[in-house]
Amino acid sequence: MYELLSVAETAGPEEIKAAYRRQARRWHPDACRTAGDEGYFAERFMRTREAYEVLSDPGLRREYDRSLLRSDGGEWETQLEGLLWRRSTAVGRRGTSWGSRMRRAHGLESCD
Amino acid sequence: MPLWVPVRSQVAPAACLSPSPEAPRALSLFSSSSVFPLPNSQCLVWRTDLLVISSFRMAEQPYMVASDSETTGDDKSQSAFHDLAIGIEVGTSKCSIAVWNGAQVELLRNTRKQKAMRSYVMFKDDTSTGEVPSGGASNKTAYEEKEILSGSAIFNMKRLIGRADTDPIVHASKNLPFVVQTLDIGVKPFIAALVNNVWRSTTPEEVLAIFLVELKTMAEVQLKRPIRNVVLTIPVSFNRFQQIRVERACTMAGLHVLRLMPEPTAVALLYAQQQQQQQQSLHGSMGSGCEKVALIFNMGAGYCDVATTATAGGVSQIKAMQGCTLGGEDILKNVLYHLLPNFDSLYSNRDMNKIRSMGLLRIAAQDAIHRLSTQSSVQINVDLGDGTKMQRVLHQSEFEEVNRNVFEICEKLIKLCLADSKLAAEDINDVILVGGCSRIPKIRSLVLGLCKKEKEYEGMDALEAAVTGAALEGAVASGITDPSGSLDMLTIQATPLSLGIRVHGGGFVPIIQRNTAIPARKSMIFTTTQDGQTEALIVVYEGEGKMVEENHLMGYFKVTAIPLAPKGTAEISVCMDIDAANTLRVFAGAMMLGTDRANSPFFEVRMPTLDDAHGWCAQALVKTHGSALDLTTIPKELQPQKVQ
Repeated sequence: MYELLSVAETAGPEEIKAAYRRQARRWHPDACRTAGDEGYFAERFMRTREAYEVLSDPGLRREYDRSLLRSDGGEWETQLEGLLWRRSTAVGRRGTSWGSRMRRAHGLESCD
Repeated sequence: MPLWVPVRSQVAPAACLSPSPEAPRALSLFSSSSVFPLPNSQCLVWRTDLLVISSFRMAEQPYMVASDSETTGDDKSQSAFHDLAIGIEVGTSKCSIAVWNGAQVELLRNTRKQKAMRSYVMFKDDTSTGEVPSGGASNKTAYEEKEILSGSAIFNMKRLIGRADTDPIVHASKNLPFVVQTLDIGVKPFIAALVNNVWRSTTPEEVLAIFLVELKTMAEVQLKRPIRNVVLTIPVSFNRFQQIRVERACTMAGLHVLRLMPEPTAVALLYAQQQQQQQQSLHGSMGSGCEKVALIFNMGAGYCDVATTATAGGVSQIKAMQGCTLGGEDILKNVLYHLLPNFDSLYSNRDMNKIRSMGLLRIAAQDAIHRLSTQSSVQINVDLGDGTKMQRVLHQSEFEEVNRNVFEICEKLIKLCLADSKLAAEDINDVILVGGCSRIPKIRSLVLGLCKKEKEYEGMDALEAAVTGAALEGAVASGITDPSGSLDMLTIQATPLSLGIRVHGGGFVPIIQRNTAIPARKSMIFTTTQDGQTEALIVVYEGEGKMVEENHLMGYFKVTAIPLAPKGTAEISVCMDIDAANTLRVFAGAMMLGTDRANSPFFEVRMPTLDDAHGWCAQALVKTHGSALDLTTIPKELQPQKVQ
């Protein structure tokens, strides 16, 4: 999530807010200049929003930080989760939301 | 580009290929719009649609819009980038059009040099041209308010659009000069205008479409180019049915809705621009700057909206919105009933003379209300023409007393909005008051008092802010950039109403909560309520009520192929998605037991699938299927964790 907002894991609340604004400006549907990319922009926008919602809430952020620590060498389940997460950020364009996974699974990708 | 599907295809092509006798005179009505020929054949198709509308052979809308961004996404965005969208605010009482002129937003004026044009459509019989409706933006005729209130004109369409005859707002509209009849069976109300002493029925959408055609023509003449894309402002409290009706009216008028913007969101965008410019002049750079929180209170003739927005670095984020159907119309009604307690019985018979005197009283009351914004008392002198004369003084205190219920609702809305956005009065930097009713002293003091402010935000025209914001959004969403940075901002919209599904026992479970940022996508897992249940009904509602019957039924569909399992173990996933164009899609399907893989292809359904006022379908469903197809929620701790 820190990658999504392009901030360091040590970033303070103000920094996170500013970073969210920067990313929101970049991925806002109104900022989309290429036909056909609206879906991708919407996807990135929602993920940015989700990251902001977690990182701007002290409780949720602590929990997320803890899960990051665990995935660096802890239980296999959270590790897998972390891996999936990383893969999804690397693949980027292939949205990882539930809806897009479902559509991909059923060959409805063109909808995205 | 929206595709048109002629439902009764025999009507449209007939008018298109071999013009009916009505066609020539209908053409003459819209001939001014063909001054600028559009490059593609689309033009012809649009005009043909208009022919059908204008020749009034349409008892029901012969068309439905089958636009779908999947099939038309490319086309839509391409045209958006070559075609600057204009901003339109169709108010209950007045309407305005604005456009980005390359340096700033400019409001267009009609031939009478008005920026705010009266929203109405006159249905008048003219023996030479046949029945030709014309609206308030028309170049041809300017009607006096007296004529508008003669029963021949339809107005207040924004209050009536997308409502069934069971709606209290429709009931409250029965004191208008034109006919509004209700039979309380959940269908469209009967609305009719007086043409040649005969009541001719129409619908709010048809009236709005005719009006929009005039606005479009006016803008095309002035801007010397065809207009297709628009950003339209709507009240916060509009449900999806009302939004679809507005979109449909736009499509009938040959306009493509690029964005539907809740009015306070448009105002928030203008605020973001002003803040951005202020910061630039202060610091000379585009720093993200400090965050400013504003409360926007917008009250016009038909609706009242409250929103809070946090703005910094040109990004305005809507934190919360609240709205209801409350406005100048209600204030006017309260005053009318105060002046004439037996108003209803006096005007129930729809006698021509009675309608005329009712119109005169309306004009007098309206004028008195306006004057009470600056005076402490007004003298009302009106000859109602039927032998009765009204001579009396109306004091401001009296006015405030009869409208106490209106002010109470305003107060409640502001408090709800502040609570939703988790803000205290102290957190608010600016209070923005817009809309005609914000000029009423009592309302100003009430809003400022609740926000603990001495003064309201200056630098915005109360009547032009929303349409200016819509024009800004039109420019931003059309991909226009401005070297001076005047278009360097955007607004993050939010859903004003929660969306969810029905669960066992008739409860409403929201999947997308209100005030969620758009575009949004949320999903939730549900489970079965019967052993061995293989099918489930997904019944989608919009609203804030805890029980489904308090909310609006959007539609329903069946999920099949649920694996055989004891009740409470199968998993049914329901996902809701709202895209930037505000289209709602619902995906649902059953999962294979113990996995996060689908058991069969998921359904993707665009909502609403029903027409408005089909709430009785829900009752029929329960009657036929009982609880056999019911779903229920899984306790939160058992909800599968979402893999990021």
